[in-house]
Amino acid sequence: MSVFQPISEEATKYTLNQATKLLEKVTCSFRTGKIDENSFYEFFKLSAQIRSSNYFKLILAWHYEQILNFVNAIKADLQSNINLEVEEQIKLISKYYSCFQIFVVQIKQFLLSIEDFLYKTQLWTTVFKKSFEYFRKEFEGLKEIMIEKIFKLIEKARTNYVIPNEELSRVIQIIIDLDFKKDIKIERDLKNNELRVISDSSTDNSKNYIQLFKNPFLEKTKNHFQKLASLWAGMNDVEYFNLALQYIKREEEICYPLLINNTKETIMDALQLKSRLQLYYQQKIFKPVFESAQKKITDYQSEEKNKAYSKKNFRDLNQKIATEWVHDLIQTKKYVEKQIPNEDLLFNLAHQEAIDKTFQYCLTEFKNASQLLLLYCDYFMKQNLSDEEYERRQADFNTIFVYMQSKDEFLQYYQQALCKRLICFNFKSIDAEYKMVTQFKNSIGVHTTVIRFQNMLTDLKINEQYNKEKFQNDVLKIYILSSVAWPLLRNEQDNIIFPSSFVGLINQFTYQYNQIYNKRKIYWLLNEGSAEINFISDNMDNFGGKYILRTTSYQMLILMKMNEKDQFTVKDLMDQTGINKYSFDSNLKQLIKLKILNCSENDKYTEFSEIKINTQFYSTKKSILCLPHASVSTQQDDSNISSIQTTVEQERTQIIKAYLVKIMKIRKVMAHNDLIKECVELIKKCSRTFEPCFLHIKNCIENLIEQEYIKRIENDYKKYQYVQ
Amino acid sequence: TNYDVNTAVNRFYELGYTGTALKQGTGAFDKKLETLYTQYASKESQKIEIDGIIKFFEDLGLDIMDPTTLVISYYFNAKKSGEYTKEEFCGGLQKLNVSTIADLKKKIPSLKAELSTDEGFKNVYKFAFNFSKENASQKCLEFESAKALWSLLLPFKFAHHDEWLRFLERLPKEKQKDVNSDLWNMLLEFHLQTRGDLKKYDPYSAWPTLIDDFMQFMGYQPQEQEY
Repeated sequence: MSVFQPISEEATKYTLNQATKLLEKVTCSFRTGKIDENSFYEFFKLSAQIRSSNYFKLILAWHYEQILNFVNAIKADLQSNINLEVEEQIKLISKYYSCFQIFVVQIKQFLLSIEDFLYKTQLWTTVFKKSFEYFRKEFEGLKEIMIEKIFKLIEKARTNYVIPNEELSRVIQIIIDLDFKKDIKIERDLKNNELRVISDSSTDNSKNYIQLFKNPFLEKTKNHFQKLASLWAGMNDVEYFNLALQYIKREEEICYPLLINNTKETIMDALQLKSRLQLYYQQKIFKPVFESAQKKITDYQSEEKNKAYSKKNFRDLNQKIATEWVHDLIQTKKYVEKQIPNEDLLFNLAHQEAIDKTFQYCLTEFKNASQLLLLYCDYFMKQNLSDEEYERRQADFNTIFVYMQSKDEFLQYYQQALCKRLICFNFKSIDAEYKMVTQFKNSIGVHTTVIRFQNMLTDLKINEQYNKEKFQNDVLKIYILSSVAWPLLRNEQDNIIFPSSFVGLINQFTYQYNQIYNKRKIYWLLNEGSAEINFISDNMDNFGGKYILRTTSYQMLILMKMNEKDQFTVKDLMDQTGINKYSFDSNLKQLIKLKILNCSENDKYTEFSEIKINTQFYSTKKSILCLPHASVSTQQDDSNISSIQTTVEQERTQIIKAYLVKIMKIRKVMAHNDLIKECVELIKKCSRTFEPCFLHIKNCIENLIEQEYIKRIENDYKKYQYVQ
Repeated sequence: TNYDVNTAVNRFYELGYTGTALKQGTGAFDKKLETLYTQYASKESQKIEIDGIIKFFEDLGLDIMDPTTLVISYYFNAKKSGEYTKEEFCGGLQKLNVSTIADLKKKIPSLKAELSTDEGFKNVYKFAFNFSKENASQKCLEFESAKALWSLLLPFKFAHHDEWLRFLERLPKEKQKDVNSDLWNMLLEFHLQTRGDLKKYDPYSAWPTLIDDFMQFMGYQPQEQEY
């Protein structure tokens, strides 16, 4: 049967009349909120019979009229119900919307029933599209009224703390929907041979939604909370934070149906929560803690000044100070972190961030923080502790270490401390040392200085093995330390002549070593060595005259030489040991002071003074420590600090310049400020050991210009260009 | 053809490397320049050397420290201070369209006036940097030379020249580094940007640190550490 049947004009008119009557019924049913689906269906059935040439126009006109009626009905309804509660009004709107949805479904059904006709005439898509466009156009005016209602509702919800029901979210869904479905397509599904409506949501038309709804909403929220903040101004911090948390949680419930995701950030901004939290943690918590820590240190130090000065006391005191300092900080931090309410993730994060920032700030401001931390870890690494105890202290150390700003500088100091520990064999557990290195690696990544730590430890291990397996003897232990890893300086003025008693052993060692590693050069680092000497005195009052001298390698050389002959002149002694003058003097003076050696002019000797062994030596201690002062001192001297600072500075310059060149190589042309910003960000992210200062980067840029890695762009001095 | 390599080579050496001899006698003007040049040129090096230069400026009634001498050297496009080659000398005078000392003398006031124009000052200022370097391979100008050159040139344009020189005097020794071309040129740019109104100075701009230091010296806030 052909679908397309010509019918008389009269018949068309009649049918149209009938259809219009039915439609009126449908329209009436809109108002009651229950659409008369039956009449609707009848109408469509009837109109399907009308297939005149101007049928398409009729349908369009009808659609438009219906939509207009529909929207007007809503408007009128709202107008007459203006005194209703906002909730009721919103309910009305949502009811109408569901009517509209049925309406759309019916139209779709209708279109499907006459699909063939429309399909053949290529008009079906246009009909659907047009009707939707009409709807959009007419609905636009309604939208503003709706949004206004929603805002009223939220306002009410905020004052009375009533959570709006789900109607609200549906209304909002309408707004979002309308924005999305600007463009719709109808396609034929080849499988089921059905028509399918595709709304093209990929074209982002949510601008309307943002401008009309989201932005005003956030603005209103901001104002509301700013008002609250001024109301709460007089409260103490804790009350303020509790109230803020309470309101944020409440707001989450109220606004949940609103489907807006960054409301909380806006609220936190409006309450100035972050800055207030920071101020709170800095002023009320960490500043007092750090101040009292500082006071404690000053108190300890002034107390110590009154006591008799002794090196050992001084060292013990420093260790005590450092340990207590770390302990206090860790305890405070743990306590504070425990206090954070665990009810809202974002609020929780704000707390944590404030703690991190202020803790870091206070730590950076604290004088000698890195020295104290170094003392702390150096001290516990020298102690005999259980594995758990090591782990606990290392964790505490790391907690503070990650907040340090100049980690690279700290690592340099640590290297020296580590070196001292390893050389003097003060460390208690090589595994604990390895764990420290791993911890450094974990917190700052692969860093040259940390690699050196590892190489130092490996060196030591290899040497132990070598001494045990290849070079077995009881007299001499020789350690080979790689010059790259160890922060040690060779004394080049030494021209050592070894005593005949073990020169053979040394030759054997060098020979063996060269056999294995024949390309490596080895030098003596006698200033770092030590010795133990059995000393027998003729005075047998104490210990039967048998003493043990703990000496440096230099002192050992001097004493061994003295053993060969009754007396030496100072000059002969120096020439025949080959020790440099500076080390020779300090070591010899200590031996004279301890009365192990005798000299008639005491320590004011000249080249020609005569030196003898004190055969009547006696002491109340069996074991005597003979180290000259310089090597015992635990204090970092000034020149050492400044040399470390230069090294750190140079390293940083290298890193900054490398990053600058890398950035410029990729970007080719870059504005000054962007370059600095990117460089800072990159270094913070990748290098993690320091925060580059603005001026330093600027100097590096200047340097790169001078070296012609980059140049300024002509006519725009604020931009740089990479020079190929 | 009667092409003879030997004759060609001989002729080449007779005329000298510069080849200027080829242009000889192309006009009375060039002849005049030639004679003027020989008046000042040193016999051994065939260049005008320091004595010649002193005599040349004396004849012009100019002190050797007069900034106008820089303008003249700029017109000569001289590569190096302390000597003019024949090419530079003759070419420069040709550019100025003068052939006698008297003519050049008449031009001196207008040459001096060029230093007060933006364009003229810029040209001479930029030229002076490379001209005053010890030798071409150097990238920097020695601090003292730069200071001297600045005191010569800056008064023409730079509103705060006295302050700048005073600032340089008071710089700590370790900061008295040699001046690179970037700083040299950026000082001019600084002048062009501010035109004497130091309020226009932006500490976050890409000025060399020495200019930032100068502004601090002038009592302006240095940039903050944070970015």
